[in-house]
Amino acid sequence: MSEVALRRVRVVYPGDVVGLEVDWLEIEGPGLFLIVGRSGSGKSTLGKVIARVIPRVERAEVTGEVKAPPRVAYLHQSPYDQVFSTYVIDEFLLAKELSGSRRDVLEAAKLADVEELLGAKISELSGGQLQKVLIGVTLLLDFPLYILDEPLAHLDPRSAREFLSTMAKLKKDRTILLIEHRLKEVLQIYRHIDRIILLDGGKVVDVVRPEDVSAKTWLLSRLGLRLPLSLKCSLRLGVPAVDPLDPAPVEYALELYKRRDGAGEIGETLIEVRGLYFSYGRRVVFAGASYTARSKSVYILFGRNGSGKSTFLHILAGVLKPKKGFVHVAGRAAYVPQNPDLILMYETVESELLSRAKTWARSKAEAREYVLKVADALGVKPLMDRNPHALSRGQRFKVALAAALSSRPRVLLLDEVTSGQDEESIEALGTMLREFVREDNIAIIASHDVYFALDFADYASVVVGGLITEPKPVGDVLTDERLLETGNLVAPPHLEICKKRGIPPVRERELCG
Amino acid sequence: MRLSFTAKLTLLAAFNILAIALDYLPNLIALTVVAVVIWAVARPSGDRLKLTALVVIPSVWSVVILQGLFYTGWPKTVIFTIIPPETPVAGWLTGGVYLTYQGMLYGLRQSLRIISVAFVGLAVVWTSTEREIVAELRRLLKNAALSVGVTISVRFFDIFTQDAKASMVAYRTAGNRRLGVGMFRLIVPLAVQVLRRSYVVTLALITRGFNPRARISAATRLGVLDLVVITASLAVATTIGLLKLLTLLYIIDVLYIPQLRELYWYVVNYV
Repeated sequence: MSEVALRRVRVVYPGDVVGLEVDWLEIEGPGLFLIVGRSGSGKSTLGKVIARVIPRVERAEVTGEVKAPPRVAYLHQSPYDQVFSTYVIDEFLLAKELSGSRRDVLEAAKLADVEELLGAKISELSGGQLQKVLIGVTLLLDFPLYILDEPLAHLDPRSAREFLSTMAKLKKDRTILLIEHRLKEVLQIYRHIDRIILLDGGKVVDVVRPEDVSAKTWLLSRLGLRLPLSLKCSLRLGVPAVDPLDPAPVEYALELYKRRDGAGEIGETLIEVRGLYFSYGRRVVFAGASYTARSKSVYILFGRNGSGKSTFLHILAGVLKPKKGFVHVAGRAAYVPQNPDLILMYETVESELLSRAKTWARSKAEAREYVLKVADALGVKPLMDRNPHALSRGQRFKVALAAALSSRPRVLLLDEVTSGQDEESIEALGTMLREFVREDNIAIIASHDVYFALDFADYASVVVGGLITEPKPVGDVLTDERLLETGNLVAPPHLEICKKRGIPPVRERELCG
Repeated sequence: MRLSFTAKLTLLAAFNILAIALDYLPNLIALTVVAVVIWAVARPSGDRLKLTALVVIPSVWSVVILQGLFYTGWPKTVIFTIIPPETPVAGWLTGGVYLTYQGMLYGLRQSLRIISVAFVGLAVVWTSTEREIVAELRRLLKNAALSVGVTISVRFFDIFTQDAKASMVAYRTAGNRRLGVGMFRLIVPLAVQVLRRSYVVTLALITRGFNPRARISAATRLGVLDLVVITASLAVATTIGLLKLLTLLYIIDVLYIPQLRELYWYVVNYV
């Protein structure tokens, strides 16, 4: 059993920025506790204060009383940056070597459901498997308290589900604090959650029991969280939901739903790929893949971690040369990687954006005018004088996107753009993409986010076995069992209801937007 | 059967000693051939072949050419004249620039020293796990922080190159040329990434209960092959090293042992 208690705790970052103000919070373990809130609400700060990362590793002034077990496992959201070995077994043995632990590796691996992966190479694991390996490694040290900061951020839906079920199993003997944005996915296991701690503006606004989630829908929505469709429909239509998975509000929304007529406009072919072969050394990524995409549409590339989605974007961007095959991209392409930090190279946001606009503008004035328009549309205009690397993760992503758009591309290539973004940012991104493609452009997005895809994209393909499936309407892909399986995807639950009723897949934002 | 990391480190140390001690070109070539065989046993992949080429080709090329141009010893046999001495200004100032046979030969010797050690070093790193490296370095250095630092640097070099690739993709799709002046700007995101990753690595080490004072695991039990490799490496390296040392002491007039007169002659001409 572990106990966490915070009394009159205030965390102030350098520059007098208040990160957290908690009057009172008690967490009685063992159990699974969910900490949720929009970007900048203080979720991570709370986790770091409990784990003593603040002030021991990260500089900030902490006042008040923080009570927590002396040994806390804190797992950062990026699993790939936390492994040191080539093989899973070596990661376990290295942890034993570093800590001097005497616990049995096999026992720890079994607890984390990774005993079958002990002989596997780290680079061949899915994101979910890797997260479980990291948990398994920490089980060697038998921590009473685990703090997991957005562990689902880089996981495909099935990996996320797999990971969450392991957490539900582990909570019996330890306390797990799960900091998450992806409320939609986490609430699929809401019965296993003991309490949901809601944060806003650095303050704890409520501590909710899982059975009361439906009654707190309004509050969850106000906090900018991605709600399950059932709760969204319940809120919009005033139909009570028994629990977050209750299909009744969705059923009612579908009864009221009137399909909007007219398919989207069909543009010209901007991307054409035929017989694509590509490999990294001996590892074949594409073996005869073909793909066609037209302007005025948003396309999604689904696929398991490591299937070649990012490689395909690099090929379209023209920086990786295929071994064989025909690749034609009409117009200028701009690329935003999964980690937006990698493209931010200037001292201020303004110079970052201007550097891209100068590649096509005839004068400085023209470049500045265009850049201001883009910055305004993405909400980064107030940040123009700031250093991009000093901004929050969400803001850095927006700046990276604004920089890409400042080069006035016709083809926008985005890699995992929604990971770690809150509901408002995702909504803004989706709206921006729709406007972008309306001007006869095209956006290709590598993603695991089925909800975003269904709401904002037109077509989707699955990258699998060195090939890319023909782009089909997103709804069709998400109701095709074979494609869901090959892409490691889990369809939004309401599509099942659509299927039962014999109606074509409906977008969430059309239903309860 | 796998060699232990202890045996591999001993082998690497022996190659270092031999690369310094050997002067006779056929011996250095033989040493390099053995190193290439060891490297080939590690079965390098396509990427590793490229990495090896990146290490070997510039080393050989630059050292051979530089020594060919700037060799100061005598005699010198000119095999190619780059700037004749009668060339206005450049020729008058330099007295002529030549590529000499003896210089290139001397450069080849130096580059063989570098690449023979590099081949064995690459093979050792590729065939050892991170845990083996940490454990052995801890036993050798008696410093947990340093040994973990070395291992993490090796591990994250690969991630750094992936980041550099992603930055380059974005840089070039933004309309910049591959070798444009703005290339130096790529340093900014990469440096920021190194700092951010260092932070995550620190957290990961804390979560793994990294304890600089934790007991050092017992030394690996050595197998027959390990013992053979360690004994042979140490025997060859110390014998040749000792012979060279004695000969050096004789050459600089510090120690002369008459009974070794023939050995001195042999070492000077054939070692």
